[in-house]
Amino acid sequence: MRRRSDQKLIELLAAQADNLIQGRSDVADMLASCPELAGEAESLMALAARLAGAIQPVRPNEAYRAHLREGLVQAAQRKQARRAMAPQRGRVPRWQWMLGAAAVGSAVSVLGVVAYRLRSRHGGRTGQVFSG
Amino acid sequence: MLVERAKTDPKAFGELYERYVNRIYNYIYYRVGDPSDAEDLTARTFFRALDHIDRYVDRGIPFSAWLYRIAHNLVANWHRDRSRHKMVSLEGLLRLSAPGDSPEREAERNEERDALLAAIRRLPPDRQQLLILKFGEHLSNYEIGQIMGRTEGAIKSLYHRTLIALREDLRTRGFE
Repeated sequence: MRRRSDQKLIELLAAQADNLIQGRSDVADMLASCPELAGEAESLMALAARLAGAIQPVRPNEAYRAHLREGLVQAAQRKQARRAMAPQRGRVPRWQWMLGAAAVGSAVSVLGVVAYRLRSRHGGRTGQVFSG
Repeated sequence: MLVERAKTDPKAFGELYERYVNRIYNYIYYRVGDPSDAEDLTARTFFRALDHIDRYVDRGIPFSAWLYRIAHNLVANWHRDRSRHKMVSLEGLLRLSAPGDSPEREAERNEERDALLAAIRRLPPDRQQLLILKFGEHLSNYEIGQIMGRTEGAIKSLYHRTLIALREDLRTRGFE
């Protein structure tokens, strides 16, 4: 179980961090409220103040931002266009599918007959050679 | 809701990008320490978000948490691929120098800041994320908790442990 003083220090440091990001760096009042923690708290608070000074918000440059936005919007438009095309492919009327299937079926039959006849002719000739 | 519109409306996705690009860039910049790499990874984060936005479901966790998760994974891959830890750019350090400093003092301050930023990058990723969200983005502990999937109390404890770890690291290297 966490000691009460540890919990107090945790709360104190959290409060100081919130003060730092609001631009308030004075810690004297906070340290005065808990003299028993003063040494440890002071050391960690000084480090937190250095962190707040070192980690300043950094922003991308405007040209990069605008260029990336343009690229993203274009990519989003292409994605939308692909999505709009997809349902149309699924909306082919059933009679067209049936017609297509019938055509494919007929073609397969014709090819089958042609293949059979070619094979018969080829087989016949082979037979003549052997018999001669 | 903007996120819902952004799933089907390219302009809304552009608005969403404007809302979050600074924060994502800032987060990535401090994780990788180089503006060019930060730009590259920020672009990848948003293109990946565009690819996967249809799968995003609002379960009460902010959209920014989803974006940070994508950025976090890309940064982790970046570190794995390169196995390197760059220092923050000179440009960034000079920008942070205080006005009126003598060249010697400025160099000293830069060295301290350099050591501090290097120590931050030696921390585990979740601790780095916490410090960047707190001091780089000025978020509350509640907001950080939502992004990192932890309670507010857990964030405060993690912050405490992070400060102690940083102090130890700096001490062992003679900077404290």
